[in-house]
Amino acid sequence: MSTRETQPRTRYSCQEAREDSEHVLSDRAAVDVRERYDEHLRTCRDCRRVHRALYAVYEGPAVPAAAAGVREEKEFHAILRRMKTERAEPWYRKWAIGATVGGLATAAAVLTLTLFDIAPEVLSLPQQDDATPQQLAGAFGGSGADEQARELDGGIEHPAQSYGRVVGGLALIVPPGEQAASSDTFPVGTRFSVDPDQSLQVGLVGKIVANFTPSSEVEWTAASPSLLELRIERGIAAVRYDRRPSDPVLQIRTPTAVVRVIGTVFTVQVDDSANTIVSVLRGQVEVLHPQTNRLLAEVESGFRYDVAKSTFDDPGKTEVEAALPLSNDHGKENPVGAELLALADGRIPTAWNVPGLPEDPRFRTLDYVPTRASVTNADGSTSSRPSSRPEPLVVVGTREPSRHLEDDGDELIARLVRDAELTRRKELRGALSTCRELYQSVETRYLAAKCLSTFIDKYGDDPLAVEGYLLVGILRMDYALDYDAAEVAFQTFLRRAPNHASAEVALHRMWLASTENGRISEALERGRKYLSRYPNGKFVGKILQRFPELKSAL
Amino acid sequence: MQEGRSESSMLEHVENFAIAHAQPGEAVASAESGTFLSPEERQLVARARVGEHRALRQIYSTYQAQVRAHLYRLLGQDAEIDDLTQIVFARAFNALDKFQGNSTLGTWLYRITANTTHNLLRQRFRRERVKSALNWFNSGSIANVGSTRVEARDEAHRILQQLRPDLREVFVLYHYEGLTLQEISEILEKPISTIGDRLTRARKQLRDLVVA
Repeated sequence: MSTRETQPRTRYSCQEAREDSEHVLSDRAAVDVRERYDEHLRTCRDCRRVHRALYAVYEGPAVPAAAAGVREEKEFHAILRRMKTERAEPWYRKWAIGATVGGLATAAAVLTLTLFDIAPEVLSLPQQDDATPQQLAGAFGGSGADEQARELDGGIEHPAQSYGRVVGGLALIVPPGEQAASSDTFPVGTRFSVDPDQSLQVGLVGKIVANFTPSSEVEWTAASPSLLELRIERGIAAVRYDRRPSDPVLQIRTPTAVVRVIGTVFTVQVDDSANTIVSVLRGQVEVLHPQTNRLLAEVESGFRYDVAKSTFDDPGKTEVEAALPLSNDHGKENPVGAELLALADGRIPTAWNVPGLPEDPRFRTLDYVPTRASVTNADGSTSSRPSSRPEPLVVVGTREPSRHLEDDGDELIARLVRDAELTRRKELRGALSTCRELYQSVETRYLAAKCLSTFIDKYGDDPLAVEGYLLVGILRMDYALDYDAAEVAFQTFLRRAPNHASAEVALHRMWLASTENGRISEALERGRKYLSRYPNGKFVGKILQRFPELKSAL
Repeated sequence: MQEGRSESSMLEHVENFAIAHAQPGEAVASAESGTFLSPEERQLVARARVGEHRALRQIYSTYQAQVRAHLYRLLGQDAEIDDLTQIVFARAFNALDKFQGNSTLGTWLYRITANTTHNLLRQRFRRERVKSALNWFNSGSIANVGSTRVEARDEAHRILQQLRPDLREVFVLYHYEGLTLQEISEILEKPISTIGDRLTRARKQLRDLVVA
């Protein structure tokens, strides 16, 4: 029983207080009732306890956070698998007699075949389970049923998307059939032997940007709506994959493991003894046994997993250096101006988990990443490379000695600098030459976007600076796969200089942005626009390679 | 006195719900025309029906927090919540063909959650009752020792778990999920008067549990 220390003027006991408690807690009590209730609570310890407990009950338990990120992804896929087991079995399957009838029918069919000697190949059916990645990738040119399946799965919705592009670097690139590559665009089945002195940066299906370190041997083996696959024989592949829910899962196959990725930034290294080492900087990956698909490990961000030793360690400088050209994490939620156009500034994004690296953005650079003494590159050299090389960008497309292919950006920046020199504008020239130095080296090219954005912010109104928009757009598209920001830059360029000599490049890039972003109807429209304006343009082949149906537009 | 107050509170609620019942013709008409769903939602459901992963994913992303929170409030901290969330969505996705659009997707998912957890709640409640009876038999009436150390919210959870499952369902849907009695009656497929009665009894029982 409660203790009453003072006697109220009118009778308002614990009984009344408890009857009123629900009204008070749900704010439905009259003012005078509320006053008497509060007054009673001040004097009665037991009723205070009851009030607190009831308040907690009505407020409800604190609900844990909903699934997000990798966990959400896993749960959704588990639901899809469970749908099959939860699905009610059709009535006819429950009937044992059905199985008997089926068996009899099969026996009858076999007898018929034997009697009439029908050629077995007429009745042979494709073995879906044995389909190789190449076959899966090849299914794009398939039947209407394939088209429908692709539409249902989402992700890569059109064959035009199943191409990759060289963003920068030097490598021996061998497309399937060992034909010479005529452009920087390559299909599934392409093999890359990266030059011993330079890395190679590629974009795949408009969704993935990868950096292969010097001397790496990599093959792109599959691109279907549900699976993208790379095979690494040697070297390091750093990959950034900001996967959307309907995008395909990425697998990286090595001689000793399969790394399954849902969406993350990570590196996979195959050393000289064919051992696999997986380092994750953001997100999470699964490492599977290559033959049995048994889960070997789940590697979270901030960990490096050695498959041969089954040990975990911290990612080191080599891995961070390999992934740094892929850094593109937004510093702000709603970037404006230069932030919208260029974010990579050589600092390691705060979203990347690198143990031992300070949180202070000023110190989040490669210099502050703890070095692992034993780390070597695939070719046995140490991981450190000169930060800048005065070598022009080249892309090797055949087994012949290296030859230069066209590069939109290189030509543009050279012209921009030349124009600035002609006008004798020292300040403008100085700003541009810094950007040019960054652009010329594959190792630092991704940093040129930030430099050019600053340049545009400062000299954007100058007629000379208009090409800067185009360059920034190209870099945003190639390194950040940020098609929206890139299109803003291209449109600004075309609006300000519709008849510029590089308008053709801008139109081509607009088409490419739509294609790689999966906006196929828009890509077709832009492709037609380009072909009608430049029927003999230098990008006609690239457009027709992905959209052969546009031949009629010529 | 006490009963009179409870009855009046229930009547107050029933009055509100009578408004919802006042024009049944309208409700039926709106249900038939599918006005519970926006055109975008109708399109989303149509795409999900044919198994489009993107649409299924969108439904899952939109409602997974609701389903998980509801399960947590019903069952408390439980290792099976993830499993049950998957079951609820798997059943929902398989039953999309039967979804007529006579309620919002959220309400429909509450119904599937209620059906999924119905037996589990009852089994657990019976098991807990037997366990607590055995505990009482073994340790006499020494109860609630150290309860002051327990966090208020954990205490709330413990009290809620002692509520009978049918009453708990109604209480959770009304007070935590913010649904009306009309909606709860549709979800649990019980008359609105039964729901009102259960809510009143749930409140009374909770009060008794807290006081005890």
